[in-house]
Amino acid sequence: MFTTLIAEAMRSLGANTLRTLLAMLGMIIGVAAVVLMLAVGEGSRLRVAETIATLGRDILNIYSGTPAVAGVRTAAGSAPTLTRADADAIAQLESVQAVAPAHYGNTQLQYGGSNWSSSVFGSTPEFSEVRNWEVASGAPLDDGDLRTAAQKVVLGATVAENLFGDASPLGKMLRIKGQPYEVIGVFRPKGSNLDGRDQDDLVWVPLTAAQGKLFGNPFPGTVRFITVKASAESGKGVAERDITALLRQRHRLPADAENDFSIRDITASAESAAQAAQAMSVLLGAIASVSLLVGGIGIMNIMLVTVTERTREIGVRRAIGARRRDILLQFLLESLLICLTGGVLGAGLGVGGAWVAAEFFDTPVVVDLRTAVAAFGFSTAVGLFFGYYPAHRAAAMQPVEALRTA
Amino acid sequence: MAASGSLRVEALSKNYLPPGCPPVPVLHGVSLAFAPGDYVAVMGPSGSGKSTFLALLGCLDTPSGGHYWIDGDDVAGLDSDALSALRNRVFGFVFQGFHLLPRATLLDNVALPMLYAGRSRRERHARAAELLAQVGLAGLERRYPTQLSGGQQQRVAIARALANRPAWLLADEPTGNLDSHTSGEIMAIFDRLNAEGLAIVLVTHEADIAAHARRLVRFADGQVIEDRPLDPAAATAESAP
Repeated sequence: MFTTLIAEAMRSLGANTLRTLLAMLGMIIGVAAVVLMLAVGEGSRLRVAETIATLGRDILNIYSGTPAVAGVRTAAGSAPTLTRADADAIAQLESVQAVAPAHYGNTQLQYGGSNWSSSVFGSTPEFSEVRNWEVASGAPLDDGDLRTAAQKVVLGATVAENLFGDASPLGKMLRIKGQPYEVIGVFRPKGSNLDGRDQDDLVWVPLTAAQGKLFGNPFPGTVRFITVKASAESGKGVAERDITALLRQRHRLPADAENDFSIRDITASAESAAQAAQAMSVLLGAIASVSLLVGGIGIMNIMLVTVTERTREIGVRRAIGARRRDILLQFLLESLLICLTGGVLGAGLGVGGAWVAAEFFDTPVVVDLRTAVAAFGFSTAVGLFFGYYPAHRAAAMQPVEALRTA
Repeated sequence: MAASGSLRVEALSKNYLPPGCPPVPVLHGVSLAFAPGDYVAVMGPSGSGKSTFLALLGCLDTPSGGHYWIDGDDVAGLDSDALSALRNRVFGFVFQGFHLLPRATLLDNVALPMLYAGRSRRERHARAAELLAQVGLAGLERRYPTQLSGGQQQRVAIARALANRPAWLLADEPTGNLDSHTSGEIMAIFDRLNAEGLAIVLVTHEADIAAHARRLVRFADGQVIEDRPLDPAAATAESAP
């Protein structure tokens, strides 16, 4: 019985191909828009999530310098107050998992005839854990290197590629500010961050080497900043409170004095970017839904015209024994068929559009099973919702009145 | 079909309610009874209510007043689905304008009432082909109604009306759109079906068509003004040449 009904519905729709296709076009565009927006929204959400993951979880940066001195806000780090001893003390806190004090500067790197300007981070062996830098080949710096201020370096992927090309840099000597450093490892690449800045453009040397040999230091023993990884149990909030209390005590600050350091949550900006991306995809989804709604109204319009045109047919069917629900089912099936076909074509178009966006505009997109389910669900819902009223009108006709229609 | 189908109406009335106007009475106080196997011609001038009466009889419309019993059951108490079931199984309809579905093949047209009766596809197609053969259209199963002459289309309509083996065939001016020769062929089919036990109510304004029946009911101004038996021999004699 059902196959017969579907065949009948297809025959009716086929009898007016142009009209059916035009009605379908609204659905195709609507579903394509929804699918595309879902793919783009999910893509940007995932990109943000990945970026946050590369930054490391539960990370705080502590900079030296008062946030505001006598009403004048100075740049963080301008008055060095943080020391390695501070870092060691922070490391003892319960709410802190690991600490990496850092001293850094931008300078020229040189290997053979190649030059490359990059950020040189001097830090402790914890740097790789705290900043989530995995050493892909070779070895990380260790405590021995730190103690002896060894002239060893671990390269970011971008630096390795620019100085060494495809060749392995391990064991090679490169020059930093003219001093020879041995390459002992290369980091796994992270890609660019949300601002589009290349995160892999850096090198890592022992903190002691950076302080003592590369950048000097007018305030011996101080560091530019300290990166802290809060323990997973207590989280960033508790760690920030504990560190603030500890540093105020160590720096002997009176109760009414301001902090001479500032603590920043480096994932906070990434998280707000994530929220912005979320809001954007909700907005785009809403716009796409409007086009789906318009498509649905188009279907309703066509179905109402169809029902009016076929009043006599409805009368004949009722006269030979069709029940109201048979008529209802017949017209619902027709609108459902338009919507599902449109949904399938629209999903194809949306996926194609997502592919174009990914391929030619470098937009991150994610197309998965949920997209197909959403397209199917949306078109079914539209077909049923906007098909119901016309079908109900058809089913409600009195047989004799329907037959009397010319 | 199981229902033997004796029909009885009493004080049946029907008003039309044109929007914004007072109700227009079309039928009033019609009382009639039909027995299984009857062959009834309903005659009367245009507007006398004979087509309205047929629509009420076939449950295509609901009366404004009075009673209607089918096999002793009051139709007034039936819901829309039950009325559909009656139209599907107890009555077969033949209309002046044939009313075939233009985009369906003859086979599908004839099979349609069986679809609504919930029969299997194989059963529907076998029976539809058999019915088309019965009305002399064997071999045309895959044709479409527009490819046929009026007489052929009316034969398809008759085949469709018979699909679920109804007790009653209700025909509203079945020969109204046909020439006299074709009309004779259609009436020959009606005569044969009645001889096989099918009860027929036939609305017509042509006396020679009405003469095929064994009973004549005449309407005027929404009332029955004449109800008398006809001599079947006269009709036979008339259609013989």
